Amino acid sequence: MNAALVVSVVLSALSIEHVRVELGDGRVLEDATVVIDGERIVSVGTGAGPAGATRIDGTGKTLTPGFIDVASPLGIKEVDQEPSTVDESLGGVAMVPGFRAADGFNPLSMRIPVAREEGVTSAVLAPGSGVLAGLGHWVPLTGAMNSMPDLKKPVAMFGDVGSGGASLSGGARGGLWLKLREVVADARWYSKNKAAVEQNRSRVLSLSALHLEALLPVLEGKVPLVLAANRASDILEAVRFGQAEKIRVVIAGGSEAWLVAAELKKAQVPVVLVPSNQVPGSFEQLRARDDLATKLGEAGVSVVIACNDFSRRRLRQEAGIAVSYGFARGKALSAITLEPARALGLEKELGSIEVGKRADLVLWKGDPLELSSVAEKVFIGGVEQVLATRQTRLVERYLERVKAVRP
Amino acid sequence: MFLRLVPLLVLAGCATTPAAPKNPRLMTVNEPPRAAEAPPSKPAHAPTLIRNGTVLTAAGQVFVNGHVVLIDGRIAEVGEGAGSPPAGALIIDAKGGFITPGLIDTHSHVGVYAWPGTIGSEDGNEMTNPITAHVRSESAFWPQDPAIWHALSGGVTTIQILPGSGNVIGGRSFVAHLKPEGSARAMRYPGAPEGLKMACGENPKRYYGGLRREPMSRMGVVATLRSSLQRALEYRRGQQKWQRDLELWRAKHTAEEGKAPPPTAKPDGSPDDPPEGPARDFGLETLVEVLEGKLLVHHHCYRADEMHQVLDVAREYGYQVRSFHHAVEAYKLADRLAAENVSVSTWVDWWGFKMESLDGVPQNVALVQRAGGRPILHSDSAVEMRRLNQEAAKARAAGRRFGLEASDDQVLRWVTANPAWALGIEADVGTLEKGKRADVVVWNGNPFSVYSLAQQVLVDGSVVYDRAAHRVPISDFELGLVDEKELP
Repeated sequence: MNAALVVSVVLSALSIEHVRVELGDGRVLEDATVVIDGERIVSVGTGAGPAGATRIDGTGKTLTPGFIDVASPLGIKEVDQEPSTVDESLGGVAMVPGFRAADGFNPLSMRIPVAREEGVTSAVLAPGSGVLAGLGHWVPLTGAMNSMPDLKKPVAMFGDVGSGGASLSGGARGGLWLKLREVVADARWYSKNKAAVEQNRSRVLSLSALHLEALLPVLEGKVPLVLAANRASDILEAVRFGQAEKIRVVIAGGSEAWLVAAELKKAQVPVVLVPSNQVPGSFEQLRARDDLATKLGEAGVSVVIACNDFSRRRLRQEAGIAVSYGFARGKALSAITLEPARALGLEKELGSIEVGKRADLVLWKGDPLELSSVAEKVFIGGVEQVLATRQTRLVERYLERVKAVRP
Repeated sequence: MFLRLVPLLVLAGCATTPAAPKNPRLMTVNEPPRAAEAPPSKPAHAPTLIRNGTVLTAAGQVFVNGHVVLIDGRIAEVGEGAGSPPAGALIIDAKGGFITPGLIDTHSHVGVYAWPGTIGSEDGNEMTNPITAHVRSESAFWPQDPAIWHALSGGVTTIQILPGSGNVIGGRSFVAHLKPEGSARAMRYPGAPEGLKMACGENPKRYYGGLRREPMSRMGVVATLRSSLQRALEYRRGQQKWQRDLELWRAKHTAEEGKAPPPTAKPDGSPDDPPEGPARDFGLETLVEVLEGKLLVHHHCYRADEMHQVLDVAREYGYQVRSFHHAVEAYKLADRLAAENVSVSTWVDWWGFKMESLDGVPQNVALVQRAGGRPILHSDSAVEMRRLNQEAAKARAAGRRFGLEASDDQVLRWVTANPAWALGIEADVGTLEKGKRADVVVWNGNPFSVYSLAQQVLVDGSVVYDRAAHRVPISDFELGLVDEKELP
């Protein structure tokens, strides 16, 4: 029985051989072999994989970890301007820490396959609006019905301490910080007086128990608080707030972060940024600069790269754009693999090609960050994905028509 | 002044599209207060030789180790080898990079929706009426918008400034040439025809429907367009009648030698003054220019069925659509667009942000090209405008997945020669050919690589952007915001 089990394990293994591997931590292996079994990576080395394994010849190709979208609308926002398809946020409310965008996740979203064919294999579903907008949950982007997020395991709380948060708080930044301090104090009181709350012997709280409960993992340092901020002064406030409250803060946006890079480095606060968007497009970004990632990287700040198209197909392009402005190539790939995993505390499971981690892998023809390159194979949790989308179906249909008219 | 009368256009039921009428300007007597022509380009200070790079001409030729000579704001020579510098020439070493024409964007709102986005700078949509053919983007254009000048760093040298898409007919556009100047007039691309912005679908119907007025449906959008064109036709008829009456009056009042002087009063004794013209309407005059093929029509339209509708209206009223904008479903009627010579200004991977954009595919450009059409990558975004070269590269990669190949030269045409055609300036710019305007970009690598950046950008033969040089921002707005020595 044992022998049969071993045989079946080997038969289910998949060995990708003679492949160039970008591990995700900045290192590269040439002519390497990566073996996956079940949903895990079981070996990373050289030479032939185990007997009985299915072999894939990776000669001339590059294997990378799947990319991670750290603040994603995938599956919770289908058609932006059609409200019946959008479950991303509770609009117009400043404080909804208990909101879970993941409750509205639809794995059958037609956007998910589009992100997947560009190498994006998992995402954190980010609530879209609020000083405390709600909890984010991790999902694999298989599009299968068994990919529903584990709602008991939030991986981050999302919020906004820039002009967006201010406009929800009476129109001034002071309003959002007032609310934030009040809610955090209430949550701390609540954590020590749950029985009193249940027995209706509570002092007046600014939020209901469900909302305060949702904040506890943040206050306990178990999950980070991802705060949108672009202005240097807002970023600094957020860093100080995190230090004072002993909260792990991640900055999202970060256009003027280069001006406070030393503080970010000292407090070990990562910055999530979109390289193409570093322009003075708002009053919070007047000191934006194209080489933001480079400047932060040189200062020792952890850089996570994000994109802002609705389908998240531009992650690798954004990483490439950062390189064009001097960001190290190795760091650029890390910024869409290992760094996002680290920023959200997922690095034991995800983000690099390492024994024991999830087999979320992409096999590329060409440089993974280059515009001409194509993902040939995508594995999520060890399962090879179908690389077809509603878009490819449309193209197949109309390409035939075009060829019929003009052979 | 002698005026030839314009024959009436054949109207409804026309089976084929009549050629654009080539009539004398009807409005000569009644000229609107038109912006003056742009002053002639300043002569380039010195001849320039750019060498040591791969020259992509966008005209079918590639010179792997080539050179370009620019004299007096024009391209004087393009060819293989290092070339020889004219006397006193500035020499630019491309350092093994690439040399291309300046990129051209058919769809931008820079200057009318400026950076930073503020309530005070929202000037691109006059949404007080679904028909505002009388307004001009030029009137609102703010040359200090930093976005205009950030576009230079992406190799963009010419852009069409359009009013927004809130209205069925949004207003007149103009073509801006990215020379640092302080007014829209001075930045006008010399000799470029003006355009007119029109829009289909969700934008006008959402806004005006919300106000419970026409158009609140696609029926209303098309009906609004048709009735506006009809009013323009009737307006022109009124103008023509008045001009005929004026001619008759003049003939009657012209003194002839040996005859009695013409009468100054009518038989009933009232003064015999010249007939008065109808009240002027600048919006209808704009639409008359559309009917006469003098304005290039740029129609915002996503869905294939709507593009069919618009083409049918255009056929009915005898005008051409020069370019459909956004046009994410152009691939569904690519054959008709090719046959009717309508260009397609679109994106690669913007889709699904509203229902009418749901069927956008990254292969749109490649399919339109395959059908023999004229695809263009446009931006509609000051951020996207800085990387039109990358959009073109993605469009090629998407096509290749389906066996639709395109050469570097062909891909380059999607952001140079094709948009030049859409803006009616293709004889003057958009390729590197002798005699064309000296708008040239030097890249540090293949422009279709994500890692490449424009190094130098020349407009009219003068360097207006140089990445390596520390420089003062062109926009007044950016002065003092970033240490000039710190600029990337």
